[in-house]
Amino acid sequence: MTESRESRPTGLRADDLPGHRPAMLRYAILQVREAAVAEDLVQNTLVAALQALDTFRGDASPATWLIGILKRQIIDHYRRVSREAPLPVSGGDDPDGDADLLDRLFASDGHWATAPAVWSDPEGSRRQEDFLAVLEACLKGLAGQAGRVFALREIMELDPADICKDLGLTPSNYWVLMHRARLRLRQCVERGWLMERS
Amino acid sequence: MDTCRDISALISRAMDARLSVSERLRMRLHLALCSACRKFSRQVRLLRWASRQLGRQLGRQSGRQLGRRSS
Repeated sequence: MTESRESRPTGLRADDLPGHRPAMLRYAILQVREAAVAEDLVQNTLVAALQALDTFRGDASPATWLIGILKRQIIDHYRRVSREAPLPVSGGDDPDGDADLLDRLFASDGHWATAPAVWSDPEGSRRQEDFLAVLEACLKGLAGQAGRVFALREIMELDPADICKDLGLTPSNYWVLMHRARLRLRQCVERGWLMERS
Repeated sequence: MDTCRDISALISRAMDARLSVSERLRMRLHLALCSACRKFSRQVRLLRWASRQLGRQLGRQSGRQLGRRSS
Protein backbone atom coordinates (compact mmCIF):
# COMPACT_ATOMS: atom_id res chain seq x y z
CA MET A 1 0.00 0.00 0.00
CA THR A 2 2.84 2.41 0.85
CA GLU A 3 4.23 2.41 -2.67
CA SER A 4 0.86 2.36 -4.35
CA ARG A 5 1.39 5.86 -5.73
CA GLU A 6 4.39 4.77 -7.74
CA SER A 7 3.36 1.25 -8.65
CA ARG A 8 -0.24 2.14 -9.52
CA PRO A 9 -0.23 5.49 -11.24
CA THR A 10 -3.81 4.90 -12.38
CA GLY A 11 -4.85 3.71 -8.93
CA LEU A 12 -7.66 5.20 -6.94
CA ARG A 13 -7.09 6.64 -3.49
CA ALA A 14 -9.63 6.96 -0.71
CA ASP A 15 -9.38 10.74 -0.78
CA ASP A 16 -10.25 10.78 -4.50
CA LEU A 17 -13.69 9.36 -3.77
CA PRO A 18 -15.46 12.48 -2.44
CA GLY A 19 -14.70 14.33 -5.68
CA HIS A 20 -16.93 11.88 -7.53
CA ARG A 21 -19.85 12.44 -5.20
CA PRO A 22 -21.64 15.28 -7.08
CA ALA A 23 -21.74 13.43 -10.41
CA MET A 24 -22.84 10.22 -8.69
CA LEU A 25 -25.59 12.07 -6.90
CA ARG A 26 -26.83 13.59 -10.15
CA TYR A 27 -26.89 10.15 -11.71
CA ALA A 28 -28.72 8.62 -8.73
CA ILE A 29 -31.32 11.42 -8.64
CA LEU A 30 -32.16 10.75 -12.30
CA GLN A 31 -32.82 7.14 -11.36
CA VAL A 32 -34.73 7.43 -8.10
CA ARG A 33 -35.84 11.10 -8.07
CA GLU A 34 -35.97 11.21 -4.25
CA ALA A 35 -33.00 13.12 -2.87
CA ALA A 36 -32.88 11.16 0.40
CA VAL A 37 -32.88 7.80 -1.40
CA ALA A 38 -30.23 9.03 -3.84
CA GLU A 39 -28.03 10.21 -0.93
CA ASP A 40 -28.30 6.77 0.69
CA LEU A 41 -27.41 4.98 -2.53
CA VAL A 42 -24.37 7.18 -3.13
CA GLN A 43 -23.28 6.73 0.47
CA ASN A 44 -23.56 2.94 0.17
CA THR A 45 -21.62 3.13 -3.10
CA LEU A 46 -18.79 5.10 -1.52
CA VAL A 47 -18.58 2.64 1.38
CA ALA A 48 -18.56 -0.31 -1.02
CA ALA A 49 -15.93 1.42 -3.18
CA LEU A 50 -13.75 2.11 -0.16
CA GLN A 51 -13.85 -1.55 0.81
CA ALA A 52 -13.08 -2.64 -2.74
CA LEU A 53 -10.44 0.01 -3.46
CA ASP A 54 -7.70 -2.58 -3.86
CA THR A 55 -9.63 -4.38 -6.56
CA PHE A 56 -9.64 -1.27 -8.76
CA ARG A 57 -7.25 -2.10 -11.59
CA GLY A 58 -7.54 0.95 -13.76
CA ASP A 59 -8.96 -0.98 -16.73
CA ALA A 60 -11.88 1.42 -16.61
CA SER A 61 -11.72 5.03 -15.49
CA PRO A 62 -12.47 5.56 -11.78
CA ALA A 63 -15.72 7.31 -12.74
CA THR A 64 -16.86 4.34 -14.80
CA TRP A 65 -15.90 1.95 -12.02
CA LEU A 66 -17.82 3.96 -9.43
CA ILE A 67 -20.89 4.39 -11.62
CA GLY A 68 -20.78 0.62 -12.11
CA ILE A 69 -21.00 0.09 -8.35
CA LEU A 70 -23.73 2.73 -8.11
CA LYS A 71 -25.73 0.96 -10.84
CA ARG A 72 -25.65 -2.27 -8.84
CA GLN A 73 -26.82 -0.37 -5.75
CA ILE A 74 -29.70 1.10 -7.75
CA ILE A 75 -30.73 -2.28 -9.15
CA ASP A 76 -30.61 -3.83 -5.66
CA HIS A 77 -32.69 -0.95 -4.38
CA TYR A 78 -35.37 -1.57 -7.01
CA ARG A 79 -35.34 -5.31 -6.32
CA ARG A 80 -35.92 -4.62 -2.64
CA VAL A 81 -38.66 -2.10 -3.32
CA SER A 82 -40.52 -4.34 -5.74
CA ARG A 83 -40.26 -7.33 -3.37
CA GLU A 84 -41.60 -5.34 -0.44
CA ALA A 85 -44.45 -3.64 -2.26
CA PRO A 86 -45.12 -4.48 -5.90
CA LEU A 87 -45.76 -1.19 -7.63
CA PRO A 88 -48.88 -0.65 -9.66
CA VAL A 89 -48.41 -0.14 -13.37
CA SER A 90 -50.76 2.81 -13.43
CA GLY A 91 -52.82 4.92 -11.10
CA GLY A 92 -51.64 4.78 -7.49
CA ASP A 93 -48.15 6.18 -7.65
CA ASP A 94 -48.71 8.53 -10.52
CA PRO A 95 -49.44 12.17 -9.68
CA ASP A 96 -50.41 12.97 -13.27
CA GLY A 97 -53.25 10.48 -13.30
CA ASP A 98 -51.78 8.36 -16.06
CA ALA A 99 -55.13 6.67 -16.58
CA ASP A 100 -56.27 9.48 -18.85
CA LEU A 101 -52.88 10.44 -20.24
CA LEU A 102 -53.72 8.86 -23.60
CA ASP A 103 -57.15 10.50 -23.63
CA ARG A 104 -55.51 13.88 -23.10
CA LEU A 105 -52.84 13.39 -25.73
CA PHE A 106 -55.09 11.91 -28.41
CA ALA A 107 -58.43 13.13 -29.73
CA SER A 108 -61.40 10.79 -29.73
CA ASP A 109 -60.72 9.88 -33.38
CA GLY A 110 -57.22 8.71 -32.43
CA HIS A 111 -55.32 11.65 -33.93
CA TRP A 112 -52.78 13.61 -31.89
CA ALA A 113 -54.63 16.27 -29.87
CA THR A 114 -51.56 18.48 -30.44
CA ALA A 115 -49.29 17.19 -33.15
CA PRO A 116 -45.61 16.81 -32.20
CA ALA A 117 -43.52 19.75 -33.39
CA VAL A 118 -40.25 19.69 -35.27
CA TRP A 119 -37.34 19.75 -32.83
CA SER A 120 -34.36 21.50 -34.22
CA ASP A 121 -31.52 19.02 -33.94
CA PRO A 122 -29.29 19.82 -31.00
CA GLU A 123 -26.35 20.21 -33.37
CA GLY A 124 -23.08 21.51 -32.02
CA SER A 125 -21.80 20.94 -28.52
CA ARG A 126 -23.34 24.08 -27.05
CA ARG A 127 -26.83 23.22 -28.35
CA GLN A 128 -26.34 19.65 -27.23
CA GLU A 129 -25.59 20.73 -23.69
CA ASP A 130 -28.73 22.88 -23.64
CA PHE A 131 -30.81 19.99 -24.91
CA LEU A 132 -29.43 17.63 -22.29
CA ALA A 133 -30.19 20.21 -19.58
CA VAL A 134 -33.83 20.36 -20.71
CA LEU A 135 -33.96 16.56 -20.80
CA GLU A 136 -32.42 16.23 -17.34
CA ALA A 137 -34.99 18.60 -15.84
CA CYS A 138 -37.81 16.66 -17.50
CA LEU A 139 -36.43 13.30 -16.35
CA LYS A 140 -36.47 14.50 -12.75
CA GLY A 141 -40.19 15.18 -13.09
CA LEU A 142 -40.96 11.84 -14.72
CA ALA A 143 -42.67 10.27 -11.72
CA GLY A 144 -43.88 6.82 -10.91
CA GLN A 145 -43.15 3.43 -12.31
CA ALA A 146 -42.93 4.81 -15.87
CA GLY A 147 -40.07 7.09 -14.83
CA ARG A 148 -38.25 4.22 -13.13
CA VAL A 149 -38.52 1.93 -16.11
CA PHE A 150 -37.46 4.63 -18.55
CA ALA A 151 -34.40 5.56 -16.50
CA LEU A 152 -33.30 1.93 -16.14
CA ARG A 153 -33.65 1.36 -19.87
CA GLU A 154 -32.43 4.60 -21.39
CA ILE A 155 -29.94 6.00 -18.88
CA MET A 156 -28.57 2.81 -17.35
CA GLU A 157 -29.01 0.95 -20.65
CA LEU A 158 -30.25 -2.22 -18.99
CA ASP A 159 -31.78 -5.01 -21.02
CA PRO A 160 -35.62 -4.93 -21.09
CA ALA A 161 -35.77 -8.59 -19.96
CA ASP A 162 -33.62 -7.78 -16.91
CA ILE A 163 -35.76 -4.76 -16.06
CA CYS A 164 -38.91 -6.93 -16.15
CA LYS A 165 -37.24 -9.49 -13.90
CA ASP A 166 -35.96 -6.92 -11.39
CA LEU A 167 -39.22 -4.99 -11.15
CA GLY A 168 -41.53 -7.98 -11.51
CA LEU A 169 -43.16 -6.73 -14.72
CA THR A 170 -44.66 -8.62 -17.63
CA PRO A 171 -43.47 -7.60 -21.10
CA SER A 172 -46.80 -5.92 -21.79
CA ASN A 173 -46.56 -3.92 -18.52
CA TYR A 174 -43.13 -2.87 -19.74
CA TRP A 175 -44.34 -1.66 -23.18
CA VAL A 176 -47.17 0.31 -21.60
CA LEU A 177 -44.86 1.97 -19.06
CA MET A 178 -42.18 2.82 -21.63
CA HIS A 179 -44.74 4.27 -23.99
CA ARG A 180 -46.27 6.45 -21.27
CA ALA A 181 -42.83 7.59 -20.21
CA ARG A 182 -41.94 8.57 -23.78
CA LEU A 183 -45.22 10.40 -24.33
CA ARG A 184 -44.82 12.40 -21.12
CA LEU A 185 -41.15 13.04 -21.62
CA ARG A 186 -41.49 14.19 -25.22
CA GLN A 187 -44.24 16.61 -24.20
CA CYS A 188 -42.06 18.09 -21.45
CA VAL A 189 -38.92 18.26 -23.59
CA GLU A 190 -40.85 19.83 -26.45
CA ARG A 191 -42.12 22.63 -24.22
CA GLY A 192 -38.69 23.24 -22.77
CA TRP A 193 -36.80 22.98 -26.04
CA LEU A 194 -39.10 25.24 -28.07
CA MET A 195 -38.98 27.83 -25.29
CA GLU A 196 -35.21 27.54 -25.18
CA ARG A 197 -35.01 28.25 -28.89
CA SER A 198 -37.47 31.12 -29.03
CA MET B 1 -57.44 1.91 -40.36
CA ASP B 2 -54.80 2.56 -37.70
CA THR B 3 -54.91 5.75 -35.70
CA CYS B 4 -51.96 7.82 -34.49
CA ARG B 5 -52.76 6.53 -31.02
CA ASP B 6 -52.28 2.91 -32.17
CA ILE B 7 -49.22 3.62 -34.28
CA SER B 8 -47.42 5.69 -31.63
CA ALA B 9 -47.60 2.63 -29.33
CA LEU B 10 -46.06 0.48 -32.09
CA ILE B 11 -43.31 3.08 -32.67
CA SER B 12 -42.52 2.93 -28.98
CA ARG B 13 -42.52 -0.87 -28.85
CA ALA B 14 -40.32 -1.08 -31.96
CA MET B 15 -37.55 0.64 -29.95
CA ASP B 16 -37.15 -2.49 -27.81
CA ALA B 17 -38.75 -5.37 -29.65
CA ARG B 18 -39.07 -6.85 -33.10
CA LEU B 19 -42.52 -6.15 -34.45
CA SER B 20 -44.40 -8.76 -36.47
CA VAL B 21 -44.37 -8.43 -40.24
CA SER B 22 -47.91 -7.11 -40.30
CA GLU B 23 -47.18 -4.60 -37.51
CA ARG B 24 -44.14 -3.32 -39.38
CA LEU B 25 -46.19 -2.97 -42.53
CA ARG B 26 -48.94 -1.07 -40.72
CA MET B 27 -46.37 1.21 -39.13
CA ARG B 28 -44.58 1.98 -42.40
CA LEU B 29 -47.84 2.63 -44.22
CA HIS B 30 -49.00 5.02 -41.54
CA LEU B 31 -45.64 6.79 -41.29
CA ALA B 32 -45.63 7.36 -45.04
CA LEU B 33 -48.84 9.33 -44.71
CA CYS B 34 -48.55 10.97 -41.30
CA SER B 35 -46.00 13.68 -40.57
CA ALA B 36 -47.03 13.96 -36.89
CA CYS B 37 -46.13 10.32 -36.26
CA ARG B 38 -42.92 10.72 -38.27
CA LYS B 39 -41.95 13.53 -35.89
CA PHE B 40 -42.87 11.39 -32.88
CA SER B 41 -40.70 8.60 -34.23
CA ARG B 42 -37.72 10.95 -34.64
CA GLN B 43 -38.27 12.40 -31.17
CA VAL B 44 -38.37 8.98 -29.53
CA ARG B 45 -35.03 8.12 -31.12
CA LEU B 46 -33.57 11.47 -30.09
CA LEU B 47 -34.75 10.89 -26.51
CA ARG B 48 -32.94 7.57 -26.46
CA TRP B 49 -29.74 9.04 -27.86
CA ALA B 50 -29.84 12.01 -25.46
CA SER B 51 -30.67 9.93 -22.36
CA ARG B 52 -27.67 7.71 -23.04
CA GLN B 53 -25.48 10.73 -23.63
CA LEU B 54 -26.59 12.12 -20.29
CA GLY B 55 -25.87 8.88 -18.43
CA ARG B 56 -22.43 8.53 -20.01
CA GLN B 57 -21.60 12.20 -19.60
CA LEU B 58 -22.12 12.08 -15.83
CA GLY B 59 -19.50 9.35 -15.63
CA ARG B 60 -17.04 11.30 -17.77
CA GLN B 61 -17.64 14.47 -15.80
CA SER B 62 -16.61 12.95 -12.52
CA GLY B 63 -13.61 11.51 -14.35
CA ARG B 64 -12.48 15.02 -15.36
CA GLN B 65 -12.76 16.14 -11.75
CA LEU B 66 -10.50 13.29 -10.70
CA GLY B 67 -8.03 14.16 -13.44
CA ARG B 68 -7.68 17.68 -12.10
CA ARG B 69 -7.37 16.53 -8.51
CA SER B 70 -4.68 13.94 -9.04
CA SER B 71 -2.51 15.77 -11.57
